[in-house]
Amino acid sequence: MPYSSELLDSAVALYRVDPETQATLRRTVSTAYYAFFHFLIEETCTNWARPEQRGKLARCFDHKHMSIASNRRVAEHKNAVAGSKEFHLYSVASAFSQLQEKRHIADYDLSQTLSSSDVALDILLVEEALASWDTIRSEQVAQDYLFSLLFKERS
Amino acid sequence: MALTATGYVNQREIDSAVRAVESAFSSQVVRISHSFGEDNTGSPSIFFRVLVRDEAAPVAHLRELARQLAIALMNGARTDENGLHAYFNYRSVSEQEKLRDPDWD
Repeated sequence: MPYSSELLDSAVALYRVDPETQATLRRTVSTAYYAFFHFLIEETCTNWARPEQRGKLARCFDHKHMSIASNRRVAEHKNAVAGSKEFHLYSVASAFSQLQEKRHIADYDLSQTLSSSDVALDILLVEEALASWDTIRSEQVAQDYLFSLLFKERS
Repeated sequence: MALTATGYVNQREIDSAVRAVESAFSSQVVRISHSFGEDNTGSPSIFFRVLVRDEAAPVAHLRELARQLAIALMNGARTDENGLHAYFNYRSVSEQEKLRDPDWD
């Protein structure tokens, strides 16, 4: 099982911990984000021809750069027609952007409270984004998005 | 007025747009609050807090509602045109009654 899948399973397990606490909710959000973060890295690194270098390549990703690239896609495709490849890319990019911000709050900002509904939504967001990715994985827009997660795009 | 990457945004226009979306979704939404700030990357951002009615809180329903609200709020408040990244949080009335978070009152 890929590491990202193990992380998502862990996020679901954390969400189901009874009794639910702010600590379990925060760890759920953080783990769900890292599941998706590592998933996108795995997808990008798979494109690298030399498998022995993929581990080192995976260390080159930067959270901030990935967020900026994702927010650009959100702005470009937020009004895409439902079911189109741009719509699915919006779902993927939006999920990453939202989750990264929520992960930051979950890990560092104790002044904010998390709700169970919102955290359940975060898990669903990742699951839907993974399904959307399956739909568009081989499309050029999807591969261009992966490229933008690692490299600076120049116009 | 709030200072963002593209200069000052007209908070009154944004408030008005948010109220319009709140009204359009009033059968499912009690209140939409928002605040300005920077996200974790340092980019100017708007943070929406959506208080939903308990009937709209089951996650499968909330997911579709959240999708529609996000698009409506981004388009209505012209977040991208204003240089703002938009972030969304949701909770039900009964959850807020337990959490008693003043940011959500």
